Amino acid sequence: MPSTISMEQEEQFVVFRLAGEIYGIPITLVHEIIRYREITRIPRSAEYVRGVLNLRGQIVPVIDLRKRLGLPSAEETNSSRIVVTEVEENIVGMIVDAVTEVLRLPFSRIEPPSDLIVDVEYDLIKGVGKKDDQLVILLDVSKTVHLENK
Amino acid sequence: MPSEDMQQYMSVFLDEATEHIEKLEQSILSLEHSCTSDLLQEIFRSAHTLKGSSRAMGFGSMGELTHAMEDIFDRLRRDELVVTHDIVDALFKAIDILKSLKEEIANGGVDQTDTTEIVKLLRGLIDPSASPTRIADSSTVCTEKPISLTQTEQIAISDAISTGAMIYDIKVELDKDCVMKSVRALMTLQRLETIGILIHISPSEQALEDEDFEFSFELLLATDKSIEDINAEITGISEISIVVVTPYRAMIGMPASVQTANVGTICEADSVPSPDIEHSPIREKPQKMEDEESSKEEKKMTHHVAQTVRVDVGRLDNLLNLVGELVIDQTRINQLVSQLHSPLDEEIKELLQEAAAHFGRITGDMQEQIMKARMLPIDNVFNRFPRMMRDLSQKLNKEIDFVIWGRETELDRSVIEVIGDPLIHILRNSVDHGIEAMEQREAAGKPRCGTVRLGARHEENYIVIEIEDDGAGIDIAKVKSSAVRKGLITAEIAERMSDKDATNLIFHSGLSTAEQVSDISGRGVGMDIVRNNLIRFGAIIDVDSRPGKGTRFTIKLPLTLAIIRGLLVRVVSGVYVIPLASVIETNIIDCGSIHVINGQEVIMQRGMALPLLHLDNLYYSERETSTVRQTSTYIVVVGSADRKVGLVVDSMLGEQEIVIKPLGKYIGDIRGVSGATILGDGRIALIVDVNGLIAIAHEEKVKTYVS
Repeated sequence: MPSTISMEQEEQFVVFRLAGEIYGIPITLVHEIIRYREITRIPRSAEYVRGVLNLRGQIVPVIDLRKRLGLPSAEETNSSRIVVTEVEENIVGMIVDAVTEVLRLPFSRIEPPSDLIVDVEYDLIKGVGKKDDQLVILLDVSKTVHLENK
Repeated sequence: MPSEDMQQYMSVFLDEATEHIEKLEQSILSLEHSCTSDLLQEIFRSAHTLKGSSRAMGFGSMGELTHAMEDIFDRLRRDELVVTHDIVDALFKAIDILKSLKEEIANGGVDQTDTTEIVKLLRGLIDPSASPTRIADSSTVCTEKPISLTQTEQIAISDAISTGAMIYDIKVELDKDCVMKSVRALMTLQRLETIGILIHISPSEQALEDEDFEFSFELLLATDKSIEDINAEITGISEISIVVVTPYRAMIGMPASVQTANVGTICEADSVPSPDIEHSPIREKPQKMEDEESSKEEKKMTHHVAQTVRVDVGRLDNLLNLVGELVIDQTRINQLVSQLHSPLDEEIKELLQEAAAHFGRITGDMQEQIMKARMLPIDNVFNRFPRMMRDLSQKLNKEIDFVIWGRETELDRSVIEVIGDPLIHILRNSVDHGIEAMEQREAAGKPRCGTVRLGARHEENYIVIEIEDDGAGIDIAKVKSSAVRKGLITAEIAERMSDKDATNLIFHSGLSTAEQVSDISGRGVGMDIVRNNLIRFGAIIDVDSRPGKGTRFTIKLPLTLAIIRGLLVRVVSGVYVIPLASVIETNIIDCGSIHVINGQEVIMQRGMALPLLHLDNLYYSERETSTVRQTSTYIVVVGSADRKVGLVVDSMLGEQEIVIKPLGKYIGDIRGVSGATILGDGRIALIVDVNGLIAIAHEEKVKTYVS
């Protein structure tokens, strides 16, 4: 194997917007990204669980990421997307305002979460990536989709 | 330890062993009633095959046991032994041990159960004065190179020819580096036995089994299949280098023409034999190896011989899911087509509609076919009961005539899997509690032998299973007093209770009328579990009993658990499905007729108070439900005869077949919702868990349930 000495190790992230901030989750955990569509409510489920949707015959639970992160809720728009993630064999969708890009971040540009970001549930954040002069909040997907009471 | 090479045969071996053991068990059972030579022949063959394959796989204990059984069958078929009770009992014991051996092999790959005792028992049954060694297979006599046939074999040949079959001489040569010669050889024999009758085997089957041969063996096969078919059967086996199939000329004793080829390119393009051609001299000069292409064609063709395939159920489930997808897509296409407007050419639109309609028909047919592929005759469950009933009647010293009807009734395998245990409970009850002791029966002027009838039939979209006995019937007074004693009901209620309702008390937990607790039934848990299990998958059980005449249980089952018929209702903004099997009736009621008793809304229906459950309160928060109460409302009455509840819904949308899908681990168990389904337009509807709702209605006031 030829060694790639100059190449720094990096990770790819799906980057999306949510309440004015920019977030990223590892692309390896993203199953697919779909347009926002009607979601069937599940009575008496956790508050941030929006319901279930039909993904090619599979019933997929969807969470309201704004609610999950403690952000103010908003109406879905034309650019709203559902990022379908797959963590530990659980397929769960997350509603986001818009998906913007796939970003390569060298490990050196990822920092542990700082207390600069206070609007968001702190323990759901894995780190903060820097791209140009922008900050990308990297979510811990596993913790985000996990239902704490289950 | 089985080598890796052997491992690939393991599953085939186990499947076959299961079939043979099952066949043996059933045949032995019928042996007791009618001992025909055909039956004995069949049993002998099963035992023989099982012996051969278990030995070939290196399972000594199983081989030894089946050998001992085979010996008994051999004596029986040659009239050297007569079927007795002892023999049948011993054979059943042997079957049980075979089963556990098979389990052991399946689980760990080693057969450990000690078989010495049972083998001794079986051996002891054979009259010691009879010749102690098995008569050698007749074929062992003739191992010389040119086939010399015994008289029996010659008769067999002429018999076969007279029925229009052809005789083929088959020479098989194994690879020189073949490690399991006997396995290959026996597989060859087994495969050929499926398409015809092996008249002659040289060297003898025993020798093949013991690997007492070089690399080749020769067979005579009587069959109505073609040379291609024969080749196809054999070419599936690996490590066979050369197969030579020639029509055997019985009269002259010389092969007519010779076809030699390597495996895979055996068949000549023109060798589609009919008996006439086969005997004509034209066959002598086929265009040998004329074109490679045609032989390739043949190779392909040889793979189309199998009539059935074993398919993993998971794959069928996947297929069904995929077809469900197609149905949804088709509905969407139809919707989109109807939304097309003028700019599009009318003609194209029409064509599109046509295509969509065709697509729809095909999808519908596909769904039906896949459902059919999942269907099995109910005999798959029923066939294990005769043995159980025999054991039970012996244990209880009762004579029982067990009659089964409707074996061929087909139902989805998902139902087959769950229906077995409840039926066992009910049958045990019938023998233990239903059928009286022989003396009692005689005293009552009934035949000594009791009858238990088990049967199945189709009724619309359901399967109805009936279990009927001509026993004493359910003693209603006894059931009532038992229920009162155990505090299930008060004496006053018992007094007023109808016979029908009282009979249904047997489904309550903690009620058993048997005076003695036996190890067969009578712990008072059976019928309770039976009913709960049945209800869980949407079945309904009913009992009908006449004192002194007998009892009949009727179970109404859905054809499949994957697809149910449901009543679609609207509640606030969502569509919900109520399984039709639990719907008793639907009504429009006047809201003025709703009374409140102890905080519970009820309506009076035919003199009975029917509790009401508002699905909107149950499924939605107060903010979402409309506060405007209509003057009349729809209710769906669900449940069973003794536990009814009326579900208040906003509107009814009609009934439809739906495919049940689980909500998944992530959502978890939601009370009052048993699953979900995808509607024709792609939307998800939740399935109402009727039993859960009834439980809710019974345990607490609905109002306090709203969070």
